[in-house]
Amino acid sequence: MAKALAATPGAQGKNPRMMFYVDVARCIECGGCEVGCKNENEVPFGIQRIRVLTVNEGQTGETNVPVPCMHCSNAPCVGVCPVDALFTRADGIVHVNKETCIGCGYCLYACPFGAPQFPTNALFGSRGVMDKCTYCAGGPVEAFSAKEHTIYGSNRVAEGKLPMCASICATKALVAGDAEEVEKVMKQRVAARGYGQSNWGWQTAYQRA
Amino acid sequence: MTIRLRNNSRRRNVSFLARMLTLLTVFILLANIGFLLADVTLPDSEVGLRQMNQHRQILPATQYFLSMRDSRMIPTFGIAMIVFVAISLAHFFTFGPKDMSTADEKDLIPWWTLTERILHWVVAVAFVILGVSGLWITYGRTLGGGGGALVLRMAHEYAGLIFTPALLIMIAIWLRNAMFRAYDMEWMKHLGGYVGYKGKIVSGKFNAGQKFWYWVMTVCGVILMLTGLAVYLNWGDVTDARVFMVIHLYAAMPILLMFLVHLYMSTLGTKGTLMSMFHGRFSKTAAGKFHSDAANLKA
Repeated sequence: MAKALAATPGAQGKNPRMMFYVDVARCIECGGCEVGCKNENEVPFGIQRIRVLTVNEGQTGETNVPVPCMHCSNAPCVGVCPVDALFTRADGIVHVNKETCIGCGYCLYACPFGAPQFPTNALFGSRGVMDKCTYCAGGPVEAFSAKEHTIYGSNRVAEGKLPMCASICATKALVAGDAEEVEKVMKQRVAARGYGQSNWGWQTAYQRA
Repeated sequence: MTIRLRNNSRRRNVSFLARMLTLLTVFILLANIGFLLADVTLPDSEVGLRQMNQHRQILPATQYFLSMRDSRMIPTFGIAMIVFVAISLAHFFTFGPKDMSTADEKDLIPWWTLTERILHWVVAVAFVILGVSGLWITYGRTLGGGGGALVLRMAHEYAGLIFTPALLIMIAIWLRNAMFRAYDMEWMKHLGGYVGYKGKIVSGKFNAGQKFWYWVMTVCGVILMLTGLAVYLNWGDVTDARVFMVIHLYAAMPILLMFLVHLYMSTLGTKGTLMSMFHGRFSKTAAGKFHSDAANLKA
């Protein structure tokens, strides 16, 4: 069954809701998030916990979208897992218990973002257990243990930091944190520059023609 | 399609064949529709993904795949399997097994060739592994995950790869024996004499029940094989994968129920027939009583 691990109290003393917000107007496809994530978590070869997707490459209106696990509120992956290996923490982060996971792939079929990924490291090159973005919050084992680092990657959230991808983002396109803080940031940005497909160019960026 | 009668004349009997195929289709459909109805009529116990997703414009295949875990279809099918086992045991303790055994060595005639026996057991072992592992994955919330279940899931994939060619060959070698004939309708009417009818019933090498099992295995087995290969080899995109998984689950239901029937019939339900699938010989007197139209008797 779902385990709700205790979360760090937020600024107003209530539980935070950790989330990602992708500001597509700012992403320049530098790939810093991909590299930062892989380095920080020592991600297995072939797994991309965060990927930058590019639409209309080379044309006017090219849009780049970094896609990690979006840690959905009513996560489809949690719903379809046949062995209940996936669960949502009290602060909204979705974790997989790699010791319960059997690698069936249902979560991959359910996820609209393609976040669950599978290494071929089981017997005879079979599909192993699922790996995905952990919000740099480790996994359902003791924080900062060697086991956690080997199996799940680093635990920055328990240190009070944000995920590596958002921290390293060159343009702060990937905004991470408590939902209320993220909302404040995005409100400021949209008020300053507007919003939408035509929202680009010198006027938008520098208020200069 | 023409039917060859015992005096070697041929005549068209399309309506009869249509009846047998209808019976088969009805069984498969009833099994699926029954479980689907359980899904939509029984109340949900909690706000599930289905209710959340009804507000959104997502594809029906995705919506159904997501809400499958909340559905009542899976527990209902589990109950159906238990009911089938209970019916089998009830039959054993009331009507009892049909005696097809013989104490006389000279009464045994060749019945199953070596190829048939080997193929049967290869398919049988692969099928049991596929069934057990598939059921473990489906009922994973009660049975649990972890290392053992991970090994079972891998076993499901390898057994599937063995099942694929073995099943196709088995379908081919038994196709002629499995065609429905006019006398199979009589067998069906009396359920082969397994529920009390004492008169003479004519069958070929396969009686109507065995033919029915053959066709459920063929149709559902090929569907399971194709959908299984499709998700294993990543045919199509993720929306296709969702559709394949749902079909895979639905095709497994009739085949598992009929397997329970076959398991009972070949072990407890008849006496002296299990060994014939090992050494290949069957009692001539029993064959004359229960499989009088078999080619082996005329050899």
